[in-house]
Amino acid sequence: MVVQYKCPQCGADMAFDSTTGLLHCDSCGYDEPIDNREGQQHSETQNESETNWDHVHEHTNFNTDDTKEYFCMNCGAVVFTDADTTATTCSFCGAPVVIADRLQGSYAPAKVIPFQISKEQAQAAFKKWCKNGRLTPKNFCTADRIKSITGMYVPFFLYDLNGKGEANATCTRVHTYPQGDYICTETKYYNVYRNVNLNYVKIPCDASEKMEDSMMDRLEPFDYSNLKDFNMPYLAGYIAEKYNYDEKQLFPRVRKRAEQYVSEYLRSTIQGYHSTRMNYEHVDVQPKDTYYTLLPVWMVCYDYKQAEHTFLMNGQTGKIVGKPPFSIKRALQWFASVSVGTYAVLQLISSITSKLLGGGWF
Amino acid sequence: MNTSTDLKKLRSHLSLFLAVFFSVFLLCTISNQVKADTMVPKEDQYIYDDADLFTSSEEEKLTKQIIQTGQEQDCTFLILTTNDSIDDSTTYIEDFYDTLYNDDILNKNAVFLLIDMDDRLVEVRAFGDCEDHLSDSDCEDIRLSITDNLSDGNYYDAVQSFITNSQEALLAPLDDSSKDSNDITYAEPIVPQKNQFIYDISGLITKNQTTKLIEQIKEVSKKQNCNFVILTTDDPLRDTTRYIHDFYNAAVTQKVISKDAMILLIDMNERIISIKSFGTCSQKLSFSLLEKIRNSVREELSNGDYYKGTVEFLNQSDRYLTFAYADNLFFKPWFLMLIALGVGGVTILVMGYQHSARITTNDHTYLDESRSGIVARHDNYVRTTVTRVRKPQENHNSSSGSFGSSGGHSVSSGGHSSSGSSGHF
Repeated sequence: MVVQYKCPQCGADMAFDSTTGLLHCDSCGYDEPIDNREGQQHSETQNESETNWDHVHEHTNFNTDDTKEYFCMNCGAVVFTDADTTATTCSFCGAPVVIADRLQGSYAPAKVIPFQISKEQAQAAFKKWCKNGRLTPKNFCTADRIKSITGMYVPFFLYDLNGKGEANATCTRVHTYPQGDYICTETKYYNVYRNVNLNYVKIPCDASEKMEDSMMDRLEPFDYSNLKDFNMPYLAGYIAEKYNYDEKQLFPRVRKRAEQYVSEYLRSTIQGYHSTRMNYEHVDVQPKDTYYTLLPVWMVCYDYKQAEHTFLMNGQTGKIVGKPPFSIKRALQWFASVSVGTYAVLQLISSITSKLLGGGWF
Repeated sequence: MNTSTDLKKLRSHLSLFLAVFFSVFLLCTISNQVKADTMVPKEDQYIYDDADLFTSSEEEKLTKQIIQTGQEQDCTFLILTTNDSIDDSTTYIEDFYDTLYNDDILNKNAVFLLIDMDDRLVEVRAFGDCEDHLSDSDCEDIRLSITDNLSDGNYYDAVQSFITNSQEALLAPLDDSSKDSNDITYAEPIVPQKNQFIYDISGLITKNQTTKLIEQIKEVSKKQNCNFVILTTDDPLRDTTRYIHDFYNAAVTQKVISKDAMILLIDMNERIISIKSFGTCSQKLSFSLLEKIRNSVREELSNGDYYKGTVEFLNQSDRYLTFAYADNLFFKPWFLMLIALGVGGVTILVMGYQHSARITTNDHTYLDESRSGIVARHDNYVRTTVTRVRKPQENHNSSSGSFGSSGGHSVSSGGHSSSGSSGHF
């Protein structure tokens, strides 16, 4: 089923506006709050299910829909989608299209953070970022290289986790004092024990196959104060995808991260000693809740020297992640000028000092 | 097409940067550190004007004057000028003299004038029979008489007065010394004794002070790995420099001191202070540093406080040897270059690191602080261990370490490197 949002005043297509947070009609300028819209088909959320993973596969039959063709309700053209697309725009008439079938059952997102940065802002940020790059090739930014700019809701799982950590360590305090002809070193040994119970809230984990995990981790943090219950109109006008990995498959990755957090916390509680030797450390991380959430990301694809580069931007906070092209020439330029400059200054100081100390002027 | 032109551009840029970098490096190096090459001796050339201080007509006139005076005095005058830095001007002159003498260009009687424009130093030095006539103080007088002209940039006048003054000095003492030598009893050369560092023939320092001084000498010697010797004399000396050098040579051959040494001579007869440095000490202490040491010693000696003067000698030598800027890494261009390259490298690394985005979350980002915390903890004291180490002792009874046995060191050659500073007080 395809969902398109029509303006109640003029009948044109409406899209989500990141600046107002409302559905907006470009034709007549009508704004409509999203909560008024009827399409609350996402009632099936997973937060009630606690640590029970098994329900996920009940709905695997949805995969059969992958090959199904969708038609634009405006022009009747085929809407080109791949198996994961849940929202897109009609390539013929440009109308925002949300594919409701793929947002149902286990694929119904629980939460969403709507876009807060507009396309224009993202574009401007990209250009600014190009100029600031001190190691990017100089001619890189003179040309407009943006091939495509896409606002995309990337599927994430947010994990509420409980971490328990226990550690036993031998710590020392060292005190040195003189005594007659001797220097005494007094070492006090302590047996230190810590047991911590930590709750982590909504650690995100990227569930899309297409997005690089390391890039996604760098986009964090998202501001959860704007986390909304999922509603389909948020997707209107953007690209959205459904998850490729479910919460069970992703859990090892998030557990590893949480274990590290717990361990770091545990170690940070042992303070005031000169040395610490861990005898025993045990960390256990258990899942409490998961939320299937769509998070906003701006993707800018640009090509430079026959290679495609991707520029990502957190669609909420504006944090930029990208691998800009690296210019060896500019790196050498910097290296040479810094080195020459430093050398000249050092040589000057050295000459002046030696003249001052050993100067024999007649 | 595009890539090949880009590559060419990159190559040209790269070579430009490297060229600029190395030329700056070379420039800095040449201007400061490159040592002067020894000059190439030529027959019938008396003026080696590397610094280009004279015009060709001036040079001609001076050469004529030199030839004329030289024939009268049976002595050759040589004028050396240089722009490059010289480690030790005395050695530089001595080396040049040796080459000339070995090549039969010069008979052994010669007086040298070196004008070092790099350090702005003047040195006058006499060899052969001239050395007997021109004592250190005579040379000093000649030097002083021409410094004013040099400071004003009248190099030609300076050299002329050098020649005339030297001529006068050569003429005068010839008769005087032959007459006087019968009346004057010159000081006997000092015989070096093992573990003796103070040869107080004039009796300027009391016994109490001597023991204190010896303590200090031992301490400084050990610290600087260099021997300190104090000589005093009442009797007139034929030549201060030679007197000290003779003592040094004897002491080194008898292995009483190592070849790295500093010697202070207080000549009560002429009221001359002379400080000479040998071996590594002479490399570390430039002439101007020795002058500085001598000046601070002179202040005390002029007041008649000989003990304080010698203490000052030890303290100042210690101070300048410790700094030893000739040895200090900071003054070595290759070290500076290394630092510069290091700074450049670090800058690039930091920039490269900033080039891609970083992870800005940490273990507290997702922590629910209100529902997290320590459930149980204890810090139980177990035991205490105490280790005792004896304090490092300061007075170790060994100065033996500083007496290096210098196997193949030949002293008789006279080619040892030394530098000196002497003057009245």
